[in-house]
Amino acid sequence: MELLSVVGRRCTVLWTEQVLTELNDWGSSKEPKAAMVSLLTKSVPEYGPPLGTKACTSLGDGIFEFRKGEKIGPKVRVLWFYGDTAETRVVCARAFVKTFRKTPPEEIAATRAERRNYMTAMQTETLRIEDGSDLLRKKGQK
Amino acid sequence: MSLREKFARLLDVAQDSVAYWRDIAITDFTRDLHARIQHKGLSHADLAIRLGTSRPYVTRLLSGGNYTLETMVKLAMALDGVIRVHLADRDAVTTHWRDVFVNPSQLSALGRMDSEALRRSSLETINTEPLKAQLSSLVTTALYGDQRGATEKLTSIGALDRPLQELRDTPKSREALAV
Repeated sequence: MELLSVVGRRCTVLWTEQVLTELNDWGSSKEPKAAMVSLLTKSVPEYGPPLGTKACTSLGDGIFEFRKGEKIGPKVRVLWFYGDTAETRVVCARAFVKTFRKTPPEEIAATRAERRNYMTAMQTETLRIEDGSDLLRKKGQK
Repeated sequence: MSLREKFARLLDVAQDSVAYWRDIAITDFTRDLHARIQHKGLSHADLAIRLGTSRPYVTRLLSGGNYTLETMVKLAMALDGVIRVHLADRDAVTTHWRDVFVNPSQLSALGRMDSEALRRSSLETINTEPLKAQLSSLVTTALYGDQRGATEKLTSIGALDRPLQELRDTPKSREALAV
């Protein structure tokens, strides 16, 4: 399993390829996707997930949701779970543009599958993490 | 395309967007609100009374949103606070007193330091440099310092209360905090 990491003072955010691909497909959801990238690269690494606010809710069973988008217009969701017991690793498993009122069950199922893959990769030491934190600093200084 | 290449492309587009930078301000402000409400032990209903508005409206405000400056000021006033806006470098990170001294992992590491040594070093060094830089250094020590024995010393954290109060009360600390 391959993940990209952004390391902050409070926690490390790990991104699956699906999340990177989905967020890179800007389409008509540029605003909420840019806000989501901001949350995942700035706020969460520095201060942890903003649990209890509109931007972050629990879906139960250890699966959480980051939410971005205004009341009217496109909404972007990222489903995630903690990758360690100390809750210092946030693994962003799935990203999607929300089109229905409820979070699609197949996305929750896919997140659970990613969690199983992640745990297996941890146990078998086959987890490969590429650090992207330096890219963030370079871009921030342009 | 590698994950790093995808991430670089993502950042290129995102950081050219207003939404990317606006989200930082909104998230910072919402976090500040929650921390202050918690610190003051207020409920949403209490805040609604202070604001002269309804509880559902307060709940909506606290869950984040596109605040106007006027709403931010009203919220700050209701929480006996003030809004200060400043420009920072793009990769700047804000360090709050509450992050330095309230975060349990940082406190556990600070607890490893002898309280008298902390009091001495804090009062001697913080007075001569901008407070922020000194706090950064304390946080760095707390986060990346030697973690051995941290758990055993957790119980001694209470001993830091007085030196920290003294630290806050020094004229130069007050001056630095006011900057």
